[in-house]
Amino acid sequence: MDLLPGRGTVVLDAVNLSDVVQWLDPVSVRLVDVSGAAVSLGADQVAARGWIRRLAPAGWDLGVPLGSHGAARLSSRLALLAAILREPRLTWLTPVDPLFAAENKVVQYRTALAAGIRIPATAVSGSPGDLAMELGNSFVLKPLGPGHFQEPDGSSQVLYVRDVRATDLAGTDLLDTPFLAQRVIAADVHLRVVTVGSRAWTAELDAAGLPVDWREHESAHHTFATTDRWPQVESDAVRLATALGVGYSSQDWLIDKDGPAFVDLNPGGQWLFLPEPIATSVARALADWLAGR
Amino acid sequence: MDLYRLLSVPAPAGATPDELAASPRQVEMPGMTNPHPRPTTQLTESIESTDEERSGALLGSVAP
Repeated sequence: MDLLPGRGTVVLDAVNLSDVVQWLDPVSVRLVDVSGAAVSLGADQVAARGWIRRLAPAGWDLGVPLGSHGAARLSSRLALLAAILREPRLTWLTPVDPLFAAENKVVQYRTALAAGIRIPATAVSGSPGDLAMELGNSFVLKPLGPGHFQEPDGSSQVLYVRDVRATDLAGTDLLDTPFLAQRVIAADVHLRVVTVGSRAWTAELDAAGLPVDWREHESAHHTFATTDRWPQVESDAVRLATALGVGYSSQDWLIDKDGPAFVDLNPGGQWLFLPEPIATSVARALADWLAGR
Repeated sequence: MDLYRLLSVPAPAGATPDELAASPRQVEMPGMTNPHPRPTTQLTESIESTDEERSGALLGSVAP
């Protein structure tokens, strides 16, 4: 926020609508910027640029039953936000439909393959035996839904990517709660590649001694190092983001004995945990795009 | 038993909802092309996460 002027910069989500939205009709929208002044979008106004970081704070809907009064209230807020997101005079770094599509791992992998980018062998099936035949007796499972959930007592459960064996899955309906199955890749290096438009920045993490999912190790979150060793990966990451229609992405790649492989893309993923100068450079690139610099 | 029950483990002590979720969208958007919930890609996000990371649509410069 320090990189953008207060005048003309609006921060909006599904929670602060009451403070930010002054007026909306089919032709125009009037919002309050961070300086407290009113700004207008619409047919008679200068076009604006926007970046969808997230639509609501994490946990804003925790404990709200589907179909309840509370859910109806939250849904109403999202509907208004959706109307603003679709204001034709707004140009988004990542428009909302490509944003949603790009969050789907299968869509990501299809796009990567079409772009000639290497990916892990991936499948969804109700048969552990079929998965084992295609992926090997040991493979990893990744949720197609969220990677965490809350228990009735308020505690949280999370999912790490770990090897499983087909025999571990006997009796489990794999399509009741669909997960993505992937062949295990023994990574030598993990990469986090951030793209903004045609620019890319890469940080790497030595995979030695780390589990399949490096997030399990607290120290791994703080030991990524800036690198310029992977220009081809950066080029491919930009191509993939462009093909998906996302102006910003936070991507996970890995390097094994056969070279780079694309693993995951988050069109709203984090970057501030990465080392400098990446963290600041990405922030500046985003601010520059928003400000039309 | 579904795969969430089979594969999940307790979250680290003290993990906040914001730390657990990396998705920019937590609920389905009415009126949108059928979106799907975003899997979390990171359990523990930036320890330097700031308020702007928790905000939603960020609009850039708009002429007054």
